Amino acid sequence: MKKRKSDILHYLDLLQKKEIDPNFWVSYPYLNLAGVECFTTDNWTWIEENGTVLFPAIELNQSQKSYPFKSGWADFGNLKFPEGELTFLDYEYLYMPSNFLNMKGKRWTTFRKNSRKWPKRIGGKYCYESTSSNNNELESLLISWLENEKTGVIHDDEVLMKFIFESLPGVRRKSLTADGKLFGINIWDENYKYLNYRVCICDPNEPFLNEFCRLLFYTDPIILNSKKVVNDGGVLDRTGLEKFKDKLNPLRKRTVLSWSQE
Amino acid sequence: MGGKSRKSGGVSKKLIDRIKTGAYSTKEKGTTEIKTNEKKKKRHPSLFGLITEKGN
Repeated sequence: MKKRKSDILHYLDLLQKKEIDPNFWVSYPYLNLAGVECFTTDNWTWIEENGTVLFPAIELNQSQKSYPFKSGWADFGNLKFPEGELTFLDYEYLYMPSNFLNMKGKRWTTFRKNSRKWPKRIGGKYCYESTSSNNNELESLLISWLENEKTGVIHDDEVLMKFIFESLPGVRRKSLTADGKLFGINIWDENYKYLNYRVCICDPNEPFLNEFCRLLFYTDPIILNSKKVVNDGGVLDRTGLEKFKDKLNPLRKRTVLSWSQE
Repeated sequence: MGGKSRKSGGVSKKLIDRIKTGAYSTKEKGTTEIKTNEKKKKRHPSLFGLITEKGN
């Protein structure tokens, strides 16, 4: 199988053409920042990172050739790996932004109540916009957030830092400030089907601010007008995070699987 | 970030040290210059270096 390097956009185009349901890691900004590579042969195209195939390879023609790999890191919603040993990787939460506008009904009780506490406490005076003051504030916020990380482990930290500190087309950000102080940031990007909610970092010393930051994100006219469903990623083996995301009434909670034939 | 690492994740204490030593400060950041658009309206620079806002 003679492989040649290809453009990541080639893989992304194929996903769209074949209406394949992309997972949380699939966006041009993410794949670029992660430094992964796209390869192709006459029959297949795939994404690779240091020799590991990340997602299901896409068949380019109906050649009926057998699948050329023996493992894969994360499947897609409607494109699975071939038969073999499947292991749980994470969940993947999909949310409908318009559902956050009304939050009617008993199932919304907890989030509806909690998401309104922070703005009420500060008297409703805050600013949520794509501009803010300076990077020292961002660094302070991030340090404060990291200091409060109970597990002490930050998943995908290198890419996370790039999303926060580097500028890249296709990555959008908004910050929450009050009284001239930075309290939180939301960062997202998108693929052909979903908006990917990459980062929600807020001051951990402010109770219920996390809920409010998420409410701001989902009810932002930019998000609502996109008419896209939001992919909010997984739970990183954290029970607390899973309970939190469950209370936001996901449209779908998908199990993401890794695969091995070895 | 809601996505798992493909290798062992970073340690928060080390990340804090890196931030404090300015490891990320060398990246391209937002300018302090106030920009004006064609209608001469002033726009403050983005914290993140790119003004990507299209407007609501």
